[in-house]
Amino acid sequence: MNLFAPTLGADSVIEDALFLLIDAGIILISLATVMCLYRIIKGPTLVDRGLASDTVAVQIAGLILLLSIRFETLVTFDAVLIVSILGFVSTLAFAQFIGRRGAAQ
Amino acid sequence: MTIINILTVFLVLLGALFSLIAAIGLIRMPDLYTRMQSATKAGTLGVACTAAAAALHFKDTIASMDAIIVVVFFFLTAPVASHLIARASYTSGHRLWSQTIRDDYAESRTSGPDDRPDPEDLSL
Repeated sequence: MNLFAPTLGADSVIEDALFLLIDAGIILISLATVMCLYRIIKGPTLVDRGLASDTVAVQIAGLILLLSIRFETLVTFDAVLIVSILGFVSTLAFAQFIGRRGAAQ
Repeated sequence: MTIINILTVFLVLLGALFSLIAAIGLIRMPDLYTRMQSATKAGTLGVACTAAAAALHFKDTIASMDAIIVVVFFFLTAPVASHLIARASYTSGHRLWSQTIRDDYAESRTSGPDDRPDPEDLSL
C-alpha cells in the first residue's frame, strides 16, 4: 500500500495511516498549485499573473516542507528558504516593473 | 504513535486546506484586490501551518529552528509583497471592482497635501 513508509514496529499500521494523511495533504497542495497555474494562464491582466506566480512560490515552499516530512529528510529545508526568498525577490522586481510601466503610460 | 504525530497530521491537513482555500479564492474572486486578499492571507497561513507541522515532526532542534525561521520570514515578507503589488497596480491604472463601496486610497490621493494637518499643530 505504502511503498516508502518504513514498516517496522508494532504500530506500523497507524504509521501507515499517518503517512496516508500526509499524502492527502500533498495532493491537496498540488491541486492548489494547479489551480494557481490556471489563473496564470487565464488571468486577464499582467498583475493577476504576477500575483498567481507569487502564490505558486508560496505553495511550492509548503509542498517542499510536506515532502521533507513525508520522506523523513532534512536536506530540503534549505530549499524551502531559497524558494521563499526567490519568490519574495521576484515579487518585488515584478512590482517595480508594473509601477514603471504604469508611470511610463 | 504519540500526540506529536496527531498534531503534525492535523497541522499538515490544516495547512493544505488553507492553501486550497487560497487557490479557490484566487480563481473565484472577481477582482485583483480581492484575489490578492485571499491569496496573501490564506496562502501565508497555509505555509505557516505546514512549517509548524515540520517543526513539531523533526526532533532535531536546528531543523525546528529552521522551520520557525520560515514562518517568521513568510509573516514578514507576505504583507510587504502584497502591498507593493497592490500599490503598483493601483498607480498603473488598474480599476477596482464595480461593486466596491469604499476607496480610501483615492480619497487620500485627491485631497492633496494642503488638507493635511500642519506638523507644527501636532506637536504637543
